[in-house]
Amino acid sequence: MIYGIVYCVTMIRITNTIEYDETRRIIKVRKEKLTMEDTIALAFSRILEKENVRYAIVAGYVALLFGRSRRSDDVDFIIENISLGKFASLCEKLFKAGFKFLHSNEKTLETVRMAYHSLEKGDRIRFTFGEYPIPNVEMKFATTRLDKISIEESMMIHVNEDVLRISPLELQIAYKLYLGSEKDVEDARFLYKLFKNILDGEKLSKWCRLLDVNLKCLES
Amino acid sequence: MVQITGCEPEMSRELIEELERERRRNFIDRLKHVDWEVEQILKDHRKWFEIQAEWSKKYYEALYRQMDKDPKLKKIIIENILRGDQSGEKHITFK
Repeated sequence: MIYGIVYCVTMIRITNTIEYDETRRIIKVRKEKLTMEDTIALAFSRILEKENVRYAIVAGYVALLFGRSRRSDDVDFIIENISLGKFASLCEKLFKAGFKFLHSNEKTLETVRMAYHSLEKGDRIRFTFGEYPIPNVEMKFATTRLDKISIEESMMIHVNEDVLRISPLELQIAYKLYLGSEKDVEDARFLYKLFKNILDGEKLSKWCRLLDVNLKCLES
Repeated sequence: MVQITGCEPEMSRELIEELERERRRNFIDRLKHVDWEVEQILKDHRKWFEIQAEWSKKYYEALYRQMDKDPKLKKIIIENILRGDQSGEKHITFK
C-alpha cells in the first residue's frame, strides 16, 4: 500500500494577476512586463537565493511590486549577517551578473573588504545594475530586531518563475505608519486596501501596538 | 492685492493654519488617489501592470538619454546618492 501526504492548498484570488496561497503564505504574481525596479530586484534576489543568503526586501519597492504608481530610486534589501568569505563569493556572483558597487568601479578584494566593513558597521552599500546609477540596490545587514524579524518571517513572492522575499505585509504597514511621511502613509494605505482580505489581523494589531501607530487613518 | 495686517503673532498663527489646512486637503486628495489606484487594480491588474511597466520604461529611457547626453548629470546623481548615504538621509533625485 502506498501512503501519501495530501496537502490542502487554499488559493485566494486577489486580482486577475495575484493569487495567495494561504497554506504556505505565498503570493503569486504574474507580470507580462517588468518595471526597471522589478528587473533589478529579481536579478539581485536570484543571486541571493542561489547563494543561500537569507534576506527580505523592505520599504517602497514592496508597494511598487504590487502596482503602486510611483517610482523609487532604490530597492532596499536587508540580508543576514554573513562572513567576509561568503560576502566575497556573493560579490563575485553579483559582478558576473552585471552588478557593481555604486561607490567604486573596482571589483578588487580590497573594495569588497571595504564594503564588508561598512556593512559590519551598520552602514548601507549600494549596487548598480548595468551602467546607470538608478534604480540601484541598497543593502544592509540585519542590525535591529525588526530587521531580523523581517528576514525570519519574510513572505515569499513568486513573480512569474522567480522568487522574492519581502518583509511581512503586516509589519511593513505598521512600520510605514510609524515612519509617518505622507509617502509612507500612502504606501501603507495601498498595501492595506489591496491585501485587506489576507492580512493577519492579530499580527497587524500587534505591530501597530508595538510601534504605537493607529490603523484608523487607513480605514477612513 | 492681499493685505496681511494685524499683530504679527496673530498673523503668523493664521497663515500657518491656512497652510496646514491646505496641506491636509492635498494629503487627503492623495489618499483618495491611492484608493482609486486600488480600485483600478482590483478591476484589471493585468492592464495596470502593463501601464506601470510602460510608464517606467519611458521614464528611464528619457532619464538615461539625458545622462548619455550630459555625463555630468550621472556624476551629480551618484554624488547626491552617496552624500545622502553619508548624512544618513535618503537621497532625492527625480521623484
